[in-house]
Amino acid sequence: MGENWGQLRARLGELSSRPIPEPAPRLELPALPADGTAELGYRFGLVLAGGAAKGAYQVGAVECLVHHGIKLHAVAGTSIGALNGVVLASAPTLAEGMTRLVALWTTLTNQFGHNPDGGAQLQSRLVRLLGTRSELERLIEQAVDEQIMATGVPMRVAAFPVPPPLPKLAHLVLPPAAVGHLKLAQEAYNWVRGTLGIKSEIITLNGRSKEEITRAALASAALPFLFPPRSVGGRYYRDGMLGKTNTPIRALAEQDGCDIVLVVHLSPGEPVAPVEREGLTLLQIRPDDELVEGGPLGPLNGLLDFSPTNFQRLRSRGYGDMQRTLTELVQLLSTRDRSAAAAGFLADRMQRVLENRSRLWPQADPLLPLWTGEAPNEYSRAA
Amino acid sequence: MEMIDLRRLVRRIPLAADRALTELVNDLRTAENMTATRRRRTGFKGLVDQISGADRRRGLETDESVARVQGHLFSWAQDLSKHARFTDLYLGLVATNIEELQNRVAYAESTAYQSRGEIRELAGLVASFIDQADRRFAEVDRKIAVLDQRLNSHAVVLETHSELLAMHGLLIDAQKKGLLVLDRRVMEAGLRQDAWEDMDLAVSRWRHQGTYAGLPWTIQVPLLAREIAAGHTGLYEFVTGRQDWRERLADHVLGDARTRQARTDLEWDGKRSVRRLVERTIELLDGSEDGQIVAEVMGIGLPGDLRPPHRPVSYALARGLELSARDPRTSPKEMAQRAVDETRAGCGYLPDSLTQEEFVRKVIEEQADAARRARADLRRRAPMTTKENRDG
Repeated sequence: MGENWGQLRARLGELSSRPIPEPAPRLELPALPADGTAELGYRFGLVLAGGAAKGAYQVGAVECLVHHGIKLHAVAGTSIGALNGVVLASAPTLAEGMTRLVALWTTLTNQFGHNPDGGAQLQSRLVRLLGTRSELERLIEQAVDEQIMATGVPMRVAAFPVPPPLPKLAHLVLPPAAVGHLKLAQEAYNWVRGTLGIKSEIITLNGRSKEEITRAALASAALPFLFPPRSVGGRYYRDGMLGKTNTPIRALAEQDGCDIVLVVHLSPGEPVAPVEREGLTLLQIRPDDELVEGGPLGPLNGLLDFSPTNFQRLRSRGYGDMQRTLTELVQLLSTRDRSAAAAGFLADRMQRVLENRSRLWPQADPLLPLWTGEAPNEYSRAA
Repeated sequence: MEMIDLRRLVRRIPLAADRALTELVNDLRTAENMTATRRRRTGFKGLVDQISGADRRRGLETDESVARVQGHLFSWAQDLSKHARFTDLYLGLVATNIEELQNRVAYAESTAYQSRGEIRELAGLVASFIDQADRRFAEVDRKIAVLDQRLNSHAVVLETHSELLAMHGLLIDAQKKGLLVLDRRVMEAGLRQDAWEDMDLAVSRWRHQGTYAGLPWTIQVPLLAREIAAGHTGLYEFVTGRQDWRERLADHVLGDARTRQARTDLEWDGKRSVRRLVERTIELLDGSEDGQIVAEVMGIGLPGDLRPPHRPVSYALARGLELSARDPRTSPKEMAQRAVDETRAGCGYLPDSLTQEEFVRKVIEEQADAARRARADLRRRAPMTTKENRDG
C-alpha cells in the first residue's frame, strides 16, 4: 500500500511540475509601404518645348526631377528646350546637368540684366538679347561634351529645315533694304512652309562632333530674325517651332523604350496631337497660367525676358508645377501600392488560413474542391 | 489535388498599371489645364483661338483626356471590382473559418466545461475517497489505540503475572530448597540411622561377638573406630559434618567392661606414656602374626593414595606392631621408641602421655579424621577424572 501511495505521489508530482507549453507566438504584421513613398524607378524621357526665355520654367522642372531622384533615358527639345536639353545631356548625371544649366542661366540672365521699369521693354529686351547672343552661343558651346554625349543619354532636337541663307555676295551686291526684304521673304516662306505642314526634322546629336552638336542645338533655337540658321550635316535649319514641332515627342517614340515621357510645356493649354502621343505614356507639365506678361505684346515680351527676376520666377513655377504633378502621381502610385500590398497581405493570410485548415482538418473538407480547380467556378476561372 | 495559391492569384490581377495611373494623372491635369485655358482665353484671344482652331484642339484634347480618364477609371473600377470580389471571397472564407473556429471553440468550450464538471466530480470523488480513507485510518488508529490499550493492560497483566511467576519461582526455589533441605534431612536422617545402626552393630559385634578378640585393647579401639569411620557412620559425618557419633562411640567404648579391664591390663591409671602403650601393645601380641596384619589393616606399607592418612597415635601403634613383626629380636621398648620417634618425625604431634579416656577419644578422632580426609581426597579426584574424560 505504501509503495502505491508513493507511486501515486510521484505521478502527481510529475503532473504538477509538467511545464505549461508556451502559446504560439503572435503573428507579425508586415509593414505596408508608407503613403506617398512610391519610387519612380521608370525609364523617363524628357521633352522640352520651345519658348525662348520661358525656358527658365524648364530649369525649375528639371530641378524637381533631380530632387525626386529621377534618371533620364532620353531627351528631346525644341528651341530653348534643345539648348536646355543639350546642357543636360552633356553632363554625366542629371544632377550635374541641372547644376550646369542653372549656372548657364544665371550667367546669361545676369548678363542680360534686369528689366528697366516701364519703357519699351520689348525693344530693350530685343537689344539685350542680341547683345547676349554670342554669350549664349559661347555658353552652349562650352557646355557641350561630345564624349559624354557619344555614350550618354540619347539627345535629339527638332529643327526646321530651311533653304540656305542669302550668300554673302548678296549682301555685297544688293542694297541693305533689298537684303532685308529678301530675308523677310525668306522667313515668310519658311513660315508658310511650316503652316502648310512642312515638319521639323529630328536631329540626333549623339555621336556628332562638338561643333555639330552645338550647331544643331543652336539651329533648333534659331528664331527667325534673331538668330541665324545653322548648318547641320550640310543642311540649314532654323527653330523647330517653325515646323509646328514645339514638343518633339515622337523623337522619343519607339527608339528609346521610355516608360514615361515627361513633356514640359511652356504654355498653358498646349495640346498634343494624338499621332504624337500614340504608343507613349505622357506626363505633361503645363503651367496653369501664362508664363508671360499680359497684354498684346505680352507673349513676345515674355519670350525675350531673360532677366534674372523672370528666370527665378519661372524657375520657381516650373519646380512647383513639376512637384505638384509628380506628387499626384507618387501619391496615386503609393495608394495603389498600398492597396496592392493590402490585397497581397489579405491573400497571404487567407492562404495561410486555408493551408492550416487543410493541414489540421484534412478529412472531408467541403471547400477543398473549390480550391483544387476540379470544380470549375468563377474563382478558378478568375485565376 | 493542389491548392490554388491565392498569393499568386492576387498578383495576377494588379489593381492598376503604372502607365495607366500615369496617364490618369496626365489626362486629369491636361483636362484641367485645357479647361482652365479655354475659360481664361476670352474676348479677342478666344476669338483668335477659335479662328486658328486652337480652341477646337484644346476642346478635343479636353474631351479626349476626359474620355481617357473615364476609361482609366473604368478599368480601375473593373480591377477594383475584381479585387473586391476576391476580397469578398476572402472575407467569406474568413467568415467560414471563423464560424468553423467558433463551432470548434464552442465544442472545445463544451468539452472543457464537461471536463471541468467531470474533474470537479472526480475531485469530489477523490475528496470523498480521502475522507473515507481518513475515516478508515481514524478507525484503524482508534482500534490500534484500543489494541494498544489492551496490549498495555495485557502487558500490565503479564507483568503482574511475571511478578507472580517470579514470586512463584522464588517460592518454588524456596520450596525446592526446602525440598532439598528436606531431602537432605531425610537423607541425613537416613544416613544417621544407617550410621547409628552401623555403629551400634559394630559396637555390638565388638562387645558381644568378639570382633577383634585376641587383639590388645589398644588395637581394638582404633580398629573399631576405623571400621566405624570407614562405614556409614563415617559417611554420615562426611555428608553432614556432624561428629556426634564420635562422642557416642567413645561413650560406648569407655563404658564397655573391656575398657575397664584394659586399664588393669595396661596398668593405666591416669596418664600413661604413649611409648609405654605401644610397648605394652607389642608385648601383648608377643610376636603374633596379627601384629603385621593389624599394621597392614591400619595402612602401614600402603601408598598414600590407597589408605587413609596416618594419624599419630594410630600410626605409632601400627608402626610398633609392624616393627615387632619385622624383627622379633628387637625389644618392644626399642620398637616402641622407634615407632614413637618415627611418628613424631613424620606424622605430626604425638602427646607424651594420655589417659585412657583421652586415648579412646584421640584414637576415634584420628580414625574419623583420616576417613573423612580419605573421602574428601576421593571426591576431589572423581571430578578431575570426569573432566579428563571430557577432554579426552
